[in-house]
Parts: sequence; C-alpha cells; structure tokens
Amino acid sequence: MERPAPSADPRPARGSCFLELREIDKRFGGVHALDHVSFSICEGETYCLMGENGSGKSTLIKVISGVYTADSGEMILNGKSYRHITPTQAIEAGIQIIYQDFSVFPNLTVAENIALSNLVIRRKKTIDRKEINAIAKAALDKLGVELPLDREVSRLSVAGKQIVAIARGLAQDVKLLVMDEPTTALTHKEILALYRIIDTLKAKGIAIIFVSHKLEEVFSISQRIAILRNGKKVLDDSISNFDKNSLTYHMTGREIPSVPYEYIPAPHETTPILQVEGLSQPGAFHDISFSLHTHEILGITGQLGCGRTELAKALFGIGKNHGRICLSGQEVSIRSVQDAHRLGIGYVPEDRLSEGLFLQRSLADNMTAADVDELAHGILLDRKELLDVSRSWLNQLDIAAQGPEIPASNLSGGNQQRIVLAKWLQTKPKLLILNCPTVGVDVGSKNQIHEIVKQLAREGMGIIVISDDIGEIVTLCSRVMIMKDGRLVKQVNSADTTVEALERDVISDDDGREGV
Amino acid sequence: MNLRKIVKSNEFFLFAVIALMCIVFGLVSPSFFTVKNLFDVLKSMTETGILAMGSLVVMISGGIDLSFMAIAVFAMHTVSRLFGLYWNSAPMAVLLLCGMIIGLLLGLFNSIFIAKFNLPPFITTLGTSNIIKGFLLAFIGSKQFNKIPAAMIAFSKNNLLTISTDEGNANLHIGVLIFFAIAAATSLLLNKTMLGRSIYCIGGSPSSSERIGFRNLRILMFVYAFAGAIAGSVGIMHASFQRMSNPFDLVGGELNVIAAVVLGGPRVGGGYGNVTGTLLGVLLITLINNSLVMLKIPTFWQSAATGLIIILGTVAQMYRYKHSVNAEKGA
Repeated sequence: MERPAPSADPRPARGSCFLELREIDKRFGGVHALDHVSFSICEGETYCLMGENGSGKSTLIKVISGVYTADSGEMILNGKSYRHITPTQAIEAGIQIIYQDFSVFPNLTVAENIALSNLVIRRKKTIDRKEINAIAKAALDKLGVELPLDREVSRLSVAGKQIVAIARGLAQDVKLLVMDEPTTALTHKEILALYRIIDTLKAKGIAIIFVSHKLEEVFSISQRIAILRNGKKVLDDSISNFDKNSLTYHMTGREIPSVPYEYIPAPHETTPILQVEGLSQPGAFHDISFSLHTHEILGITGQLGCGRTELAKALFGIGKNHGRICLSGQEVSIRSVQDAHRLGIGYVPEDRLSEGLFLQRSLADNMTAADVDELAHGILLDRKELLDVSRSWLNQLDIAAQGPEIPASNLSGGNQQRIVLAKWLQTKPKLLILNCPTVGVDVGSKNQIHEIVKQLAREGMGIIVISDDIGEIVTLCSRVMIMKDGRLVKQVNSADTTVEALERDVISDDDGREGV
Repeated sequence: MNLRKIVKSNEFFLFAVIALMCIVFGLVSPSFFTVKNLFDVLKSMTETGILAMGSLVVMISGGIDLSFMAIAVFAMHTVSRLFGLYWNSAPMAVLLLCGMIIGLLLGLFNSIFIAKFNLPPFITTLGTSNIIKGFLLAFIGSKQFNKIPAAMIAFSKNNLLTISTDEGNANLHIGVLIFFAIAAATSLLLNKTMLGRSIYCIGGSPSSSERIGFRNLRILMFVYAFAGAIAGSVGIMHASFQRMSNPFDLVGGELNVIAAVVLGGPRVGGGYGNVTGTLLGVLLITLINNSLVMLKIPTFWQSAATGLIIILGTVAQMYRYKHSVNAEKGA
C-alpha cells in the first residue's frame, strides 16, 4: 500500500535562495542518476539529503560542486543562472563540500590540507607558512579540536582525516556547506562537537546540506529533508512531519520492520564454539576473556581506538598476541590468516575498500577469492563453475548487480559489503567476525544485511559483530561487550538494556581523544 | 624541525652515506680531498643535476619523464646546427633561450597526451622520446656537427674562479652557477609558490586537487613544459662542454638522472620529494662515477655500482619509512 506523503507545508517566508537547481538531469550510460531533480536551499537553512546508496545523492553533490556537468537543467547561484559551473566558480561562490572520501592530500601536512583551498580561492600565488598555520589553527579552533599542524595526513587515523576534511570546509568564508556523511569515523564526543559547529554556522546564516544514513542525526540537526530514490526526488518537506519509520519508508519505498534477534541456544551444547581466555596484545588490548556459542550473535562496541579492531584481527591471525583461544573446546594457535582460514574463521573487515575487495576485479573473482583452493580441480579452475557459484551468491544475498563479471568498484556500498560477506560465506566458516558491517550502507541494505546475519546465526554459525552503531548492536546481537582502553569493561544481554543505556556506558569517562 | 626528525630524514641518511664514501675515497686516493677534485665533481654534477630538477618536479606530480634526454639532444643538435650554420656569432643567452623554448614546446607535446588525454606518462614519454629521436636523425641530421656557434666554445672556457694548486689549475666552471641557480629556483617554486604546492597536491591525490579548485590540466602542462625547458638548456650546455654536437650523445643517460632523483626521496606514485634530497642523490651518483674513474676501476663496475646503490638506497628508504610509522603507532 502506498502511504501518502504528508502534505508539503509552505516554507516560511525567507530571504533570497542561495542555490536553486532546476530540472537537473544526469545520465551515466544506461543509469539515470538524476531524473529532473529540482531543489533549493536558502541562507541559514539546514537540509538533510537522504536516500539509499545509488539513489543519486553523491551525483547531486558533484553537480553542485561543479565536478560533474549536468546533461540538462539550470543552476541558479546567488541569483545568477549557470548551465555549468566549474569547481573554482563553486568554491568562489562559497560552496564547500566535505566529501565522503575526505579528499585530503595524504602527502601534505595537516596545516596545508586545511589551508590550501582558502589560498586557492584568494588566488594567492605564494606561500607563507605562518599564514597557513594561522588559517589551520583557526579552523581547528572552530571545531574545538587539536591536531599537530605539521603532521603528515597519511599518518592520521581515519577520524583525524575526517576532522581535517571538516576543518578545511570551515577554513573559508562559506555560504553553503555540504557534508557527505561526515560522522562515519567520528567518536560520539566529536560528533557532538560537530553538531555545535553546525548550530553556530546556522546562526551565521550559512546554508547546510547534510548527507547521512544515521536517522538519529537527521533529527538532531536538520530542519528540512529531501529524499532521493532512484535519481528522483520523492520528498522535500519539513522534518517535523516525520518520524524514523516514515523516513525509512520514503527512502526505501517499503516498510522495514526492525525485529531484535532472538538467540535460541542449541540443545545439548555445552562447549562454546569459541572460548577466549586472557588474550592480550601489547598496546592494543589486555586480558580479554569471553565465549561464544553457536547460534549466538555477540556484539562488541566501544570507542575508536579501544582495541576492538585489534581483537577481531587477533582472532583472525593478524598481530602478535598471547593467551588461550579454544575453538569447540580444542585449544588452537592462530598465527596467520591461513591458520584462521583453515580453522573455519571468516573476517569481514572494517574498511571494505582497502581490506575487503579487489575493486578492479570482477564480482566472481572477489567472491571466490577466499575459497579458491577448494574450488580448484587440481591446479585448474573451472571458470564456468566460479561464475555459477557467484551467481548463486548474488541471488542468495540479493545483490543488485548486472552479473558476476562486472568489477566490484561499480557497486554501491551496501552491495559491496555483501560481496565481501559472500567471499567468506563461500568458505563455510563456523565463526564469522564482522567489523562495522554497515558503515556507509543505507537503511534498506543495512536491514537486509542484518537479516542475512541473523539467518546465518539461526543456521548455527557463531557470529561476532563489532560496531559503533549502538542501535545496530541492540537489534542484531543477543549479547554485548563493551571495550574501553583495551579492556573488557562490561557484558550484558541486549534484552536487558536499551540503546540509551549502552550509549552512556560507551562514552562514560570519555576524556581525551583517542585514535587520532 | 627537531634533531630527531633530521636524523631520521632521508636527506640525513644520504648525507651520511656520502660522508662515509668520501672518507673511504679520501683514504684510498690522496687527490680526493683537493680543491681541483671538488671543482671537477661540481662540474660533473651540472648536467645530471639540472636534468634532475626537471625529473624531480615531474615525479612529484606523480608522473615520470623518459623523454628528457631525447629533448635535450634534439634542442642541442637543432640549435647547434642552425646557429652554427646561419648565425655563428649568436650570444650564449640567445642559444640557451632557444634551446629552452624548443624543450618547452616538446614538453608541452608530452603534456597534451598526459594531461589532456590521461595517457600514462611512462608510455607516453617512451613514445615521444622515440618520435623526437627519429625526427632529429631524419630532419636535423645524424652526423656529428663540429662548427658549433662560437659562444658555445667560449662558454666552455668560461670559469668563475681559477685557483692554481699543486695538481694544476682548479677551475670552477660557470655552469655550476647556472646549476645552483636552477636548483634554488626549483626549490623556491616547490616550496614558496601555490603552483609548486599544487604539484604536490596532484601527486598526492589528483581528484582532491581538482576538487579544491586547482586546474590539473594547466598544472601538468606546466610540469612537463618545465622539465622540457630544463632539458633544452642542458642540451645547449652539453654541446658547449663537448665543443661539438653529436646526436648520439646523452641518449641512454636517462636512468642515471632518474636514479639520482629517486635516491633523493620521491616515491613512485608522486607527492614526495625535495630539492635537497635530489641534490644529495645527484652528488652520490656523481661521486660514485667520478671516484671509480679516479680509482682506476673499469667502467662496467661503475654501472654495477650505480645499480647497487639505487637498490640499497630504495631498500633503506622503505625500511626507515616502515620503522618510523611503527614508532609513531607505538607512541
């Protein structure tokens, strides 16, 4: 049943619109990325732009920033009409984009990364180090964050890079700030600081377009919301007319129930599938003990830098650690990825782009990569068999792809994540570790991934999920462990806790930045 | 920059290796630590050193230029022949300028393919290098040319400073001054101008560079034109040093220059490198070549020694990079 959209309220009387897009149309080959999208944003307005992966959000942003040229349509910026705008024109008009991939220069220092675009706009020809440092310092101060100005950006953590990207957007006289998922790598405290900055910017009359998959965020910062679906704008309204469920509905075009996972222990099972005792890794985590049974989904959460990723990797044979690890009651030594593989452990990494996928290779190559030894007949591979295996995974995991032979880089985040998942499922693991399985994945796909994981657990796999997203942990996992500074500080059944209580546990005593 | 950082830097490492080599050579050959040898080494560095500045800029931008020797030879032979035959009395400045303009145009020719059509620089410059060589031999001449303009001959004898020593006269050639001036200008360009920083930006991330408003096309055109112009000037100087123009000279020397630049710190892929490191790299390569001659070691060993130094230098760079990253992580 099609749910009627709440009637659009007339927008309050306001000043001149800073940016207006009229009937913007853009195609990539056969894909209609933007289908006659019209959109306008005025001074001081905060828009949230939502939509599933591949709905056209990024394309729209790139049209606004001048990186892409629209096939047809008109752009009115400060009352002036443009058929096409160059990145320089957009920047000079006061449009700043904080890209999802940060767009930082890994080889330059923090200060240069932040200050350079400011200097570009001012058409500076020469470089003054003091000025660069001053600009960078001022921008970081606005964020209330300290970073070493002369540190090379390649040596920062992901969160540090994100901060640099945001600070760069704030380093000039900005009229429209577009943030493409700016909070994916930030800790709770940094996100709160960002919200405060957004409030200040709003008060200064700066228009903000905020792209996010996190529904909570949308409600805390934006006044209006626009939703794209398959390249069309399906909604443009005041946020107060919606709640989380109705937004999800408009984004995906379907109702998505959120049912917590119910863990039913296997009858007569006494030995856990995984038992960890006193596991330590110097500089990462200390004295970690826990167990995991089949059919169980165990969540691990904690701030960035708390040791959760190192712990996951340790179970997958990466890093030097000591302590006892038992699989189904047998003590094992996991010293390499090969060991883990042989013992039936699968690991879906945090950063699928750099650790999980061969982006330029086909989906089939990706999905069969971990199981090549099993699929081989002697020393030969049967190409047709690999393709058949891959097609069956595309079906089973409902991956939207034209076929198993397209490169992995063509897929959206949610589908890419399912390819990584398929790669490990193909090895028929007994224990599966998922590190932030839904980062940068839209609501619809996220839910589908959750359903896949729950189904795997019901079928008897033991699953560990590491995530920042407390909402995800509570619906997906039957039990949660919280890590802090490399130690396990709390274990609780998710049925006995709430999202709010867990969030408090995670951020308590959060002084001092970590992981930068 | 604090002391620890300096000690860990690539430049310090090169400096230490050079110092060590000097000590060894000094112990073996008494004529090593003499003013005459110093001046000779400086003069030997001139051509490689100037060419290295062009290569450095290209490598920072994330590319590589294999055509600069072909450009240098082309500029050398064209200018030598044309001026030698038709305007023998042209002043050196005009000759240098013409060489640089020819080089600049050939560099722009490279950049059309690389910047405009996004062809890989390695393949493009390998191709253009052959085109340029072919053109040169077909249309300009394939024979050694001896009647080079008078100003070139005069330039080869133009010394800034002559000191008489026990080993004979030690001459500091004016080419050394040009070399230092170009190195200083390159350093200024890279560090003190937006254009220079934009070259590092392209090397670090071309898409990010475009996004903050740099015009990658123009910047890359500049980069290859700069490398071309520099190669052109070296061509003129080379003919002058040799007092003749041989179209088969220089060719094959590309790798020596690239090796010197690579030793100085740029990483394949771009974004890194500086003039100081490159100068040290050039000095190291020149010292090896010169000193092995002085020690009467056969030339084929020079080639082997250069190759060995390149590999050892790169290994040391990688090792120290990994080490420093680990040290920071542990901190």
